[in-house]
Amino acid sequence: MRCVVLTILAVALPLMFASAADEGSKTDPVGYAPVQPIAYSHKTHLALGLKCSGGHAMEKTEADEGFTMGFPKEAFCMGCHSSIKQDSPDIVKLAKAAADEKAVEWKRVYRLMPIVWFSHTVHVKDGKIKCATCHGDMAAMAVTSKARILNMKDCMDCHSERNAPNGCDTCHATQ
Amino acid sequence: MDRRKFLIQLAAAAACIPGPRALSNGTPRAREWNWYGGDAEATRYSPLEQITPSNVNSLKVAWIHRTGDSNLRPATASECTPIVVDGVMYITTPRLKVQALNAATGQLLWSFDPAEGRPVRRSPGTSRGVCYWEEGGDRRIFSTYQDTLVALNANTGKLIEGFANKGVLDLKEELDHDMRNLSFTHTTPVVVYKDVIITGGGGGEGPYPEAPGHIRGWDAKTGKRRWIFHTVPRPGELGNDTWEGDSWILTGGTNNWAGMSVDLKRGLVFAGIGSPAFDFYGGNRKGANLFGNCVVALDALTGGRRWHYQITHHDVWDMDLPAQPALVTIRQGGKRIDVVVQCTKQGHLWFFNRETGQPIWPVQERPMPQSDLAGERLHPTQPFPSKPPALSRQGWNDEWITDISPESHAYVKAIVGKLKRGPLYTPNAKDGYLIHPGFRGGPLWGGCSFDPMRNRVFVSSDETSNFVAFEDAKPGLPFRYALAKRAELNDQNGFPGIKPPWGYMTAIDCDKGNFAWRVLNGEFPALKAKGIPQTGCSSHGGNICTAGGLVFMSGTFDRVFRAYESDSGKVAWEHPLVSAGFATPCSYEANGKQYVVVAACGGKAGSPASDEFIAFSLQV
Repeated sequence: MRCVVLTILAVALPLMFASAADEGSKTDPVGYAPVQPIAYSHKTHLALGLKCSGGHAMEKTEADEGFTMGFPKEAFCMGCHSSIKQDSPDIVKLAKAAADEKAVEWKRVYRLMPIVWFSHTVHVKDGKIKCATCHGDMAAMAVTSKARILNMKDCMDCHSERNAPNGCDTCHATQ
Repeated sequence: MDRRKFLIQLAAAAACIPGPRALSNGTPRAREWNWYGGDAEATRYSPLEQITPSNVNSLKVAWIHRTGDSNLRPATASECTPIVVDGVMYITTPRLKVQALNAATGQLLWSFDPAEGRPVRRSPGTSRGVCYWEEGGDRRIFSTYQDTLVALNANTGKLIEGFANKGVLDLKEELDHDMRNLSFTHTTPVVVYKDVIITGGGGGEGPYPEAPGHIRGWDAKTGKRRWIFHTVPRPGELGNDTWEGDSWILTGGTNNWAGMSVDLKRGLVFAGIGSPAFDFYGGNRKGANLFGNCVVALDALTGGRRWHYQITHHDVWDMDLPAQPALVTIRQGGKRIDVVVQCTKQGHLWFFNRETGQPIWPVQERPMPQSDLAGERLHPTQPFPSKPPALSRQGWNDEWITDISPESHAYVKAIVGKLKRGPLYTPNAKDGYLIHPGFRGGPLWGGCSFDPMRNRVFVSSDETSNFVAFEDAKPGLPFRYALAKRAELNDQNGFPGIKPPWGYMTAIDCDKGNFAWRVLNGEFPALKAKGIPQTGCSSHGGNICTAGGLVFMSGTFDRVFRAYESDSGKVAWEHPLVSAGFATPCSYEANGKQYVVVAACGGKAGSPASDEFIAFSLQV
């Protein structure tokens, strides 16, 4: 039964994403580091005491609350940058986005396939999984890059090690 | 107005409201679609003949019901075949709500959400529909939601308080197995015989520990377990000796996930069983592994085994029996024979005598090569039916590598060159072995339909291939090999790695056991645009046939709903869908009009998720 799902994934992936228009897919290798519109350094900001949950809030998606961790609001960034490095070209760009109330178009580093039901709430809050488990040591990343492939084998191995459910419909709405 | 008069008038007004029971319009149930498989026997045949090859071009959208609960990301899908009873259609939605509709108009009558009030922690899962049961005025809808069976009042959509735990039966209980940390799911509707609800379902197929798929009978009124049939038999039960050592204790899988059928006259329930877990390596379950990969006939009231037939011994190719057995009466040389038709991923259709379980056509047990994978011991033989011809190419021949372009050929050749390959049942190998037909068949859960007038079985089938490779499991895990690779053999653009054709619709003459006709099913527009002749394409969901002489099929990846002429296989009608109809349609009569309905909810294989159930009827 499980293999039917796997087969669907195998067929669907290339046909759905052949254009690679949906950046940050599971096929991007470890180390994938797209050029971002603003050169944001997790290393610098985490060293200053910011927490992951400070910048990335759990958002309500079509599925439910907390499936996705969002990007920080520009106004949140300007809370500090209204008085820090205001003259930096990146901060000027950021300030303009904040003033225009227009979201910075960050490039996704991670992007699960649409047929994957993954909830950050379940994994982070309930499962006590550390952010670094999937995203690597962000405190060491001046440039954000992909730390883990996060394909189905990876997910299933992790579930197995933690005695988490591994049935097809744990993550997929199809058999 | 005094209070008494007011109440009388209120009651009179309420009586005029068309509740579900009042919608029958006198249509005989035989002209509706009372079961997931059309009828208890899963023939997927409608006796309606209003829509015919000569007028099918007038088939238009009559109504669309939007369930209102689909998501694009993460994507929902639907594999639901609606049932229709007494003028009311019952469906499951992309997020597994149960809804009742006026079958003539699509008007929503009631909706029940099994997840109401609970945060979403995971995928909603899959449901292919519901099961109807009645006794006197007690009318119930049984629907499965993840690992539960829900009993609803068919008139109101309210939970039946007296059934199990306030209308909800936990299917992880009373499975005669330690279910700690194991998941259970039930995707295809349950079946019912008299007052016994019969469930299948189970866990996955490893390599992780999995739940077994024991079949159980439950009291339809109370939810109390009446019986259990151990699909992995216990000591003292027939077949336990086909599991060496204690392998019967830990082995899961071996479940009926594609649904069952019921012989109401004989009181028998028929089930096709899936692979034991782990479905690619059997070193920890040496033996033939009954009742894995078996067709089983059980007494529906007691669960007693009447007969079984194992189609794959000691499966390491994921050759689940992937469809409801169809119970049909065929004609051979003027003689009528009650048979069971079982579709298989291998591409064989097996015909069994329904009473005895004996194959209708001769079977050859052919010797098979042995695996050199450490600890593995494959069965020395596998059975091959002499008729009908296989629906798919079987095994692998390098001459079959795709030729749609030189680039595709080279890309696939490079993959294939690293894999162990050969005839059907080529042994598993650590560095990779090729399986064709792959995990999606051949036929799959859509099964087949049967036209009793034409004495023909209609079946859709795929031609896709898969490969599997192993790695040593991490220390501490309770299994020897993990999967290093499990993938579909595709070219660089995602098209099948085998030379076309990739999808068929086939009609089988049940008298001779031959193909009456065979046509390509679907196509890839991108390849058509390049001038490549029709290839056929993969599909999810099966076909139905009608007395009007049509075979309806919607599940192809090209998102086209088609009607084929039953006599010739000619495409008589096509209707493009926005989101694909990855489900088997149904056909029924309401208010004197024939409808064909399909869940067109996409959500996979490149088709956007949607929430539409679309009804078609003749527009004159």
